[in-house]
Amino acid sequence: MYKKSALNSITDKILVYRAKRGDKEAYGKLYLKYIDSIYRYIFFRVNQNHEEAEDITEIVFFKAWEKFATFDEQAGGFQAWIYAICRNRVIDYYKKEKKQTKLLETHIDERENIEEKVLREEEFENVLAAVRKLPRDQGEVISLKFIEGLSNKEMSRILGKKENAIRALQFRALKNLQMILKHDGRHK
Amino acid sequence: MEDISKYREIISELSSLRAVAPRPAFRARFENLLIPALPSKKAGGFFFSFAVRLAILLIAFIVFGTTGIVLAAGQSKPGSFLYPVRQLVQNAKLAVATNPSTRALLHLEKARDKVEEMQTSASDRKTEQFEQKAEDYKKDIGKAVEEVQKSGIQQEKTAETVNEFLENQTRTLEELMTAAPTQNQPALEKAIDASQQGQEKMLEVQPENIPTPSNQSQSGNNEFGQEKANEHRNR
Repeated sequence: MYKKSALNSITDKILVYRAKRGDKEAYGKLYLKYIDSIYRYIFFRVNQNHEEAEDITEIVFFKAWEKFATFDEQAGGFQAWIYAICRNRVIDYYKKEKKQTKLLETHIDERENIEEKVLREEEFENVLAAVRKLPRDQGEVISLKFIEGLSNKEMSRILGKKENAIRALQFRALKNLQMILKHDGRHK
Repeated sequence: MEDISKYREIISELSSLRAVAPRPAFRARFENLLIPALPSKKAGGFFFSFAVRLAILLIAFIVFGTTGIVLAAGQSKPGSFLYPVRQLVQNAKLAVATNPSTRALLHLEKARDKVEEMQTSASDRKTEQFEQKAEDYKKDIGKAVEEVQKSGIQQEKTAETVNEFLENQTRTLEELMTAAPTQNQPALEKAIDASQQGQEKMLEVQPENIPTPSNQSQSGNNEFGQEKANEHRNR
């Protein structure tokens, strides 16, 4: 599981310092570092549509640039801060429209044979569908913890919840997920 | 405390969802277009720049009384009582402006004033002063050009504006040449030269396929052109 090293944290601090002083290149580097995880978070939170996820990702990073001057590193790291912006944009999205989630166009390794490909696609989509059925807060914890690999401490900063609460939520989410997959005939 | 190991299989399947990623075209577009398009910010803390701005405004207010004077000065011409106020306000605006395009236009304003000063004093025999005004004009054009070169994604549009301005000023200066005394003509030639060099630099900045007053080539943008960036931002 991905863990944020001390060096990683220092790198963020340096980039944030430079970006706060108007260095767009430093901001670009921060963007490159977090774009995948921010995009994924949004992708699973909205309708699993690439275009929508891209639009919201763009808005998040533009908003973050606009608000950079007011970003307070003492209150929490850049990661927590950008996820907070991300959550707010997703909430805005929920308020504006309710969309049906669509199945993902999967990216599969071309070297696999067709049967494996189909099986893997099916498994992938089963898990996706199951995650989609979770309540929002559980889906969020699953996404941040098990897909993005954030620690409970990091999630506590992002979600504004105590670590114990997050631990309890993640177990509830996993249990729920297991039940959904069993119900869908995936697990025995 | 629950044991997470019983969910190992699910957790492993969840981690496969990490394969979801932004499309390469989106990533490339964002990196190559949208990051450079972010509005520039002045280095230095927010509080410091606010304090500087406030100090300049307060000084202008205290020294020149009401803001009405400052506003009236904006319309003043060379030789008028409020013209020095206008110059001070221009310098104050330049001190606080951070956007290179804005700064370029402010330098153009100063340059235009210099041309007006030269028009007012063209028939004077004070050659040294006239030469100084031409020199100041040249400096302002130089600074405007520098700012255009820094203005990133707004560069082409600003360059077009600067180019048009320089064309007009060149015409004005050439007309002035016909009326000015002989001793003032070398200064005017320098000023015209500076205008023309500035125009050349602005044309270098503009792609050949964007129509300009001096280049009537067809316009067009590739996938990563300005128009696409604006369109995407406005979606």
